[in-house]
Amino acid sequence: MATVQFEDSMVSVASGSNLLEALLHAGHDIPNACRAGACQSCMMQVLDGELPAAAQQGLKATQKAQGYFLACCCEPQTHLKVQRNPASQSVCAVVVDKQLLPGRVLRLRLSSELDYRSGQFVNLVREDGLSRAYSLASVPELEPELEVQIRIHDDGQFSQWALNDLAVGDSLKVQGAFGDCFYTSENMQQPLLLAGTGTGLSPLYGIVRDALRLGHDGPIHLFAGARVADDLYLDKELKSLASAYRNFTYTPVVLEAEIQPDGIEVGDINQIMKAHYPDTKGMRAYFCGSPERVQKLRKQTFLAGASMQDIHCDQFTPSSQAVAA
Amino acid sequence: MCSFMNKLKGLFSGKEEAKPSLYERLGGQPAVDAAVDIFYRKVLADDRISHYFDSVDMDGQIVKQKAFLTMVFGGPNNYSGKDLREGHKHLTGLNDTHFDAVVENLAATLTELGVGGDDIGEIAGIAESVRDDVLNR
Repeated sequence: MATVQFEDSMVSVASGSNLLEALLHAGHDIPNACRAGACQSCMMQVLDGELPAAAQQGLKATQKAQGYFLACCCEPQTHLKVQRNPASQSVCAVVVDKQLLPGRVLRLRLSSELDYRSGQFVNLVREDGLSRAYSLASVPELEPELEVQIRIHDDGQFSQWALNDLAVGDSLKVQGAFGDCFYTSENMQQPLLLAGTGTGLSPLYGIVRDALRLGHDGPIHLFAGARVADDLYLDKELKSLASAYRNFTYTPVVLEAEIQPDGIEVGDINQIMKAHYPDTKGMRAYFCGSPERVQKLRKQTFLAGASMQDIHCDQFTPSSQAVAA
Repeated sequence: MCSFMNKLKGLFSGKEEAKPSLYERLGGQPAVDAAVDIFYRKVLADDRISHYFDSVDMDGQIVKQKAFLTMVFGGPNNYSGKDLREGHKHLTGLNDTHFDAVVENLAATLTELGVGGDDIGEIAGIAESVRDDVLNR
């Protein structure tokens, strides 16, 4: 057992527990989602004391150097003094629009004062504390509301509640914005390669529109994967974007189709992307979706020539609560 | 082996003050950044050793390999023999063949970057000097 000084209070972390649990138990409002070291929502900064190595596992060198660590993976052995991640905000948001899209995806538009980059993610927090991480499909310079696209799971606690009980006019807490999967305009000629399956498409939709808005010059190619054609839930929006911008190409990919659908490729999205781009040298890539999918896309793209620092990924990890449900 | 030792002696003797260090000649940290992608790609494609490097945490792998390249380029590093032993102890079955494969990929990376034969020899010499620590013997 060790004690941790947080803001003006002191908490004890029992052995076998972690700092996040101890802080939540003591009534502190700490952003969190997966509680497994993946989503990085509970990132904090150490001011004094020695962190256990596990608390910084998987962080970038720049983050470690600044003393950032994950509260959910931190079982302190000695006294620590810590503070909130200065980047994280917690704001109130009001539902202004709710729409069911094809492929069992719920689109929510929320009015809020959050500062963010398109493609980053936030935690949506229900009144009782139930929270889930969702990527932002909106572009702050293009539309005033935050937009999230929520996959409806049959046994999903949050998504079922959002679908059935959450109404226009209701309010939610939004924490964020997190992640470093977003567009930066340092090289406007660089070809951009994007791929995502399911609602992995939502941050990519934001990133593409952000790049186009800023006048990205190089070619931009987005591969959107779904099981069947009916699940390509942003098909209409992406097609109209492709006809509006000469340098933007949209390739829908489905896993299953009895007859070859018009304008859609059938097969594994990784293989199809590889066939289009056997050489990725000099390209910048953005991949979003399930961890297995994203890891394969990253590796194949790196092996095909792209530099690791040009490959940006957002892995959608199911929260531990969702897995247990 | 003898020439390695001579080169190592030359490297560490510090007598040739006018001559920039190996790390400076290679181009410092930007040279490490340029080498790391090529080197990592080579080891991932090498069936003899790829399983030791094929981690889901590719960003973490890049960080470790930059530290390794900085060391063998003669740059600033905080590696001790103990760190190298600790860091490789959990890798079961690690032996000379694997070490040789890493050195081979390192040399191929440097050749690709246009580094001269003498400098490659010097770098291989530094890598060679940690062989026993890495293999924990």
